[in-house]
Amino acid sequence: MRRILAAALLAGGLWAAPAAAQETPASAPSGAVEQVTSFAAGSNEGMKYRHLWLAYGAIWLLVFGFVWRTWRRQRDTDTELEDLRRRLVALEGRDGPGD
Amino acid sequence: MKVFPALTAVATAGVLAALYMVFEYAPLEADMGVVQKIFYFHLPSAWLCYLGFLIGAGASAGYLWGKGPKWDLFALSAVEVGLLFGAIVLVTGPLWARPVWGVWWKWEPRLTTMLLLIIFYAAYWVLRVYGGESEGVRRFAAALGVFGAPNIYFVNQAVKMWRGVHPDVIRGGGLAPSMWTAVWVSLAALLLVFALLLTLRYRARRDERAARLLRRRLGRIGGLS
Repeated sequence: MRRILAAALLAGGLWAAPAAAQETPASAPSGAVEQVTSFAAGSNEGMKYRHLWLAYGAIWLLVFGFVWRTWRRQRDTDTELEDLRRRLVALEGRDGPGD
Repeated sequence: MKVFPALTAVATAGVLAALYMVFEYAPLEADMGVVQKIFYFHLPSAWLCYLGFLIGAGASAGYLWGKGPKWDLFALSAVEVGLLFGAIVLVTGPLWARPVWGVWWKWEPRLTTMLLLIIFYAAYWVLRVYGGESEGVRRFAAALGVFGAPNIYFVNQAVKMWRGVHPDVIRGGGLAPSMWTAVWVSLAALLLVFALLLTLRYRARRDERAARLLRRRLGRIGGLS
């Protein structure tokens, strides 16, 4: 038992001496990979991607909405114009040249 | 009539090229990361919003000068397209600001003056569209369109004059050359979209006026049952 305790003290001493002599670097050497010690919530990388797609989605939604509304107005106006011109031609044919 | 398919094809090709430049060619911004790519459509949209309002103001001045109702319709169409690009600016701006500034909106000079400019021309649009077709309304709206234009100068100078937090990379010169290329390609593409939308909108407004005149004529000669 004493031998085991002595061996443990020797091994501990051999390990502790250089460990105690080791200087703790003020910062990690350049190029070294930092040790991850915690996983904290709060990174907004996901939000950045989400907002990017939302922004480009909104742009095309607005542009195509505008085109669609304009196209519908044009279609309705074309139909109305055609109808009005037909009526005018019919009236002028009945009454002769109008004003 | 063949102008529209050709313009649509060119504008589509331009937009696809712009998207390639934004997402593949332009580098990732060091601090803001991927969300900065909103900038490539946000900035040209702001410029095209100004362009729409400036064309609206010019055409309104022409109408007041006695150039005829087509100038009034062209002014209205240009302001409508300008408002569309203004809406794009107002939507993409907060989506960019939230991850970068931590807030959706700040009452800082550039944002506030831009919002006021858009509200001003929205007022013009409401008056012109819902105010009826009388000569008085058209002239009043045209005057409003002309008086709104100088505000563009204050929006443009707001960062310099009142020092806000809005980025000012144009005067600051802080844009990498490849980022500039992406900006110019996006601007060219959106300019084509602007021209297409303005042409479509003006044609719709012009035909609506023709229908209105025809209705009036038929009403006079008893052709409307």
